[in-house]
Amino acid sequence: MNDIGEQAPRDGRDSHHGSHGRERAVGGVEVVGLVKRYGRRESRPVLDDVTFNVVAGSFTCLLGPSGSGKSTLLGCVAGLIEPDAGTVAIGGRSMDRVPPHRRPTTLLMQSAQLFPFLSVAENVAFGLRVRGWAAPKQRRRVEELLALVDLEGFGDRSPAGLSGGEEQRVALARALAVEPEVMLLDEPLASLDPPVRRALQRALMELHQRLGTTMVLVTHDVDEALALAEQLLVLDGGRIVAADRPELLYQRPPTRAVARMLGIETALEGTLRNGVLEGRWGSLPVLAENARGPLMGGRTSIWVIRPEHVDISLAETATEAASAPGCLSAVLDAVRYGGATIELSLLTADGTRLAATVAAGSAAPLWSPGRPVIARLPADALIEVTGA
Amino acid sequence: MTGRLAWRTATLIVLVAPLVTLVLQAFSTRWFYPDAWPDTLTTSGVRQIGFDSATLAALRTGLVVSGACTIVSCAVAWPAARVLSRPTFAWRGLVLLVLFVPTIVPAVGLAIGLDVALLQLDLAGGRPGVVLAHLVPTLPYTVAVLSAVFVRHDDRSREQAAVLGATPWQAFRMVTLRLVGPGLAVAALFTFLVSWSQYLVTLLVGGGQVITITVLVFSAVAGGNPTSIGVLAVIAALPPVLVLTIAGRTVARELAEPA
Amino acid sequence: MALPSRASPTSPVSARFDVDRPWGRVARLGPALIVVGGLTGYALTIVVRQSLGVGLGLGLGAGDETGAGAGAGFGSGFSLDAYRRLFGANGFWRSFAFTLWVAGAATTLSVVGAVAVLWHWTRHPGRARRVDLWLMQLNLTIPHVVWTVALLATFSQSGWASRLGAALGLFDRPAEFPVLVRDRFGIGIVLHVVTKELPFLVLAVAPLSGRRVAPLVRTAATLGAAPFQALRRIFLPAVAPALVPAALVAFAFALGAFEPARVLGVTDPRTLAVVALDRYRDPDLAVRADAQAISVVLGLVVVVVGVVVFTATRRWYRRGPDR
Repeated sequence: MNDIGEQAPRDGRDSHHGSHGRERAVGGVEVVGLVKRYGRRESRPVLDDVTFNVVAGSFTCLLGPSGSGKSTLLGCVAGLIEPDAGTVAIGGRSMDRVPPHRRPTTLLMQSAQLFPFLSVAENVAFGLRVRGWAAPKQRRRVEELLALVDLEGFGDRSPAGLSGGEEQRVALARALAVEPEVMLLDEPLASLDPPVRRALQRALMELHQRLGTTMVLVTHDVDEALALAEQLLVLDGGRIVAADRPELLYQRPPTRAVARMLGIETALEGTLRNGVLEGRWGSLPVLAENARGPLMGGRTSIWVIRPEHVDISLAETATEAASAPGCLSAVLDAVRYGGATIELSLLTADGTRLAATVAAGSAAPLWSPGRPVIARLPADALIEVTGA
Repeated sequence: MTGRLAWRTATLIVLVAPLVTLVLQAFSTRWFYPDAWPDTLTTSGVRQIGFDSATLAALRTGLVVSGACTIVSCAVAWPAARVLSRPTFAWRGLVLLVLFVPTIVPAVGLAIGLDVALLQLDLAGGRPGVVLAHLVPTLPYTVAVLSAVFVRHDDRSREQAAVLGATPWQAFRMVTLRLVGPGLAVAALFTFLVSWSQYLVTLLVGGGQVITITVLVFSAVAGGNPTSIGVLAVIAALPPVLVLTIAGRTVARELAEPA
Repeated sequence: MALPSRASPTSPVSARFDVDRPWGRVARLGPALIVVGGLTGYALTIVVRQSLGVGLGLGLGAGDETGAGAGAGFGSGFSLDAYRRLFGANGFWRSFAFTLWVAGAATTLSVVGAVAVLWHWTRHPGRARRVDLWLMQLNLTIPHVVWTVALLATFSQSGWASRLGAALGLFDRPAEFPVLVRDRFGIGIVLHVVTKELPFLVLAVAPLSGRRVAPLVRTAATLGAAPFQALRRIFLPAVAPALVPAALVAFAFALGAFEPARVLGVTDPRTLAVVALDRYRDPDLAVRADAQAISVVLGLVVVVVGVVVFTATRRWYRRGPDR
């Protein structure tokens, strides 16, 4: 962009994530009240009053299941889709009626969309060419970018001969060439093989560290979102249902739906009496600091626990009672060997399902379905959530 | 909005109005300038000219010739299209180039050439010769449509059927034909249309012996009677329009490229 | 990529004729290549030979010369007489120029119009275009003869358009309506070709431009390409592989089209297609060579234009993978 030198107006929060050590300051994104509906008036909108802030220079991930409106949201920010209502501002400037080619954004899609009739170098130079850069300057910049994405010497190749990972790296270089204030990434890694995918995730993080470009990545992959995000937005049913730092969201998911989306399956429903949660599955002590209200008076509430916090030990007999506080007796239902860890699925006597992960050390007892176990759920690991 | 209105008006005038004119002509006997609409609409022209024995004979000839051409064209194109749709086939470009030569030979030259060639082979002057001659302009399109269909439904579904225990014949009947059926119908439709609209080739190769409805329309122009021109033209346009109306949705789907 | 289809056990004979074996391929492609390639090649060879005065008696049916083989018979001597006669006649160059004008103008308008429609659809993907697609498919199915007659009935000076104009008080007499068909400039023929070929081009390119090209154009926009830049640098090169061959087919059609040229044209100037057919049906065998010579000239025009156009757009075609 021509106006890359100018400092985008910053809001106060910028300093938390800080662009210390980064090359330049860039634009944040403010989205207010975005509504988009396809087809008939009565139909449920794809985006239903979406409001959020992306801090300038941050790496923000938008996590949501398929069909939650993620791509539509990015399309609205990039200017490819016109929202029915709401506004988008980038770097403090309103993007109302600004066509996509005048916005300080670039967009990476799931397929690289390389121009097949141009060489790799010509692809990367495209944005510079339409901005009227001189040929030698273009060449230098292209070489710089190909080096940045580890594709030195690929300039004269045709896109037809590239692997999936190489294609996406060319697309990345092409999108970075124009020095966008905000880079929008619409699941660009979704169709790649796991090793390539992890390599590109690392590359993205490094690039973000070096360039300080604001990045907004859309994904349905929890691991990817947790690994990359400085800020995590959870989108469900066309609404933002949670927004925070990923570690905070993971530690204290606000709703059961968010917890499930973050891979926390276990949810226990019961009534609170004197600091103890009582349900048909048994009873467990809980802590006030993890609650969303008073711990007494028979209040009905839902609590979740992360699988790695559940301690499992084998019971000698099926009838052995889990007498200690914070323990439940259950039966092993399914076992999934996951390399370093083993994922266990347990059923309590009333049919409530609990998920637990245990280390797969050599000393690990022989887990097999049908064995009775005792599950210890520490009070400090139980978190109250809202919603069904 | 005004742009869309202008576009709609333009398409109506240019694409629809001429057809309406033909229909009006067919159903009127006395339509004098400057009346914007014929005085009376009557079916007398349709009854006289449309059911004339010459017209019916020409209609029959046209259906027989184009029908035969469609069947032969599809039968010949099917195996060729299968080879062309194989990703491992290296000579695809060359074969397609040869097959598409007739489409870039100016029609007059092609018609004259085919006439001389078939006269030389002693095949001109009858329906078989005309069918053979029609294959030249139709086959490129039949092959093109069918190979696009085969590219979309490659052998994997058939292999799946084989793995599940189907005999080759069962796999063909229960899987291949179901998948390729609509595409084959579209290929047949295209072939029929291209054959149906051949005028010069039919006229020359048929040597006056093979009179299709298309040939009859042209000779009516020389006659100059608006009603008979209208009736014959409407009859000539009817089969293609009918087929398209019935199969339009399939056509749209089958001609779409794989995503 | 599909596996070679050897899933089912096959006998050695049928394995040899598998679709992925050379003989299987020859057997499957043979009929189509013989009918199209063989017949067309044979026809074109005879046309070229006859234009050079060789074997003019061919195709006379039960004539004396047929038994004597291809090289024998009337006017069997090689000569450039037909071309000399043709190029010497003052009517020829007039017809030649007229034909080029009609075909060139009609093809240009069709291509420009088709690109405009497709570009509009690419830029505004949500709009309902079912009606447009249906109208174009309908148009494609109408035989050329019928369409020619329909245009004549609608746009001649006493046609329906003129009558509607009269009803609106725009004209009093047929002569006041602009000469749109049977005119000296070939407007009627151009109208026919454009109205038939524009839909053809749109339908031939629409699948490609809809699914593959539209995302490329959007990508170009996010990289900063203004609409015109995206059209010139991305859209046109991306649709070229489908558009250019289709446009060449349209050009060849316009060049050799007989029905519209005869019905919607005037007697002077005539297009070469009309001249060729007249000469071909002349009882004098020597004159027939003129028709063949005209066909050869028309064919050469297509070849020259084809080579020029493909060379000019060459750099737009998808590059193959690097070796």
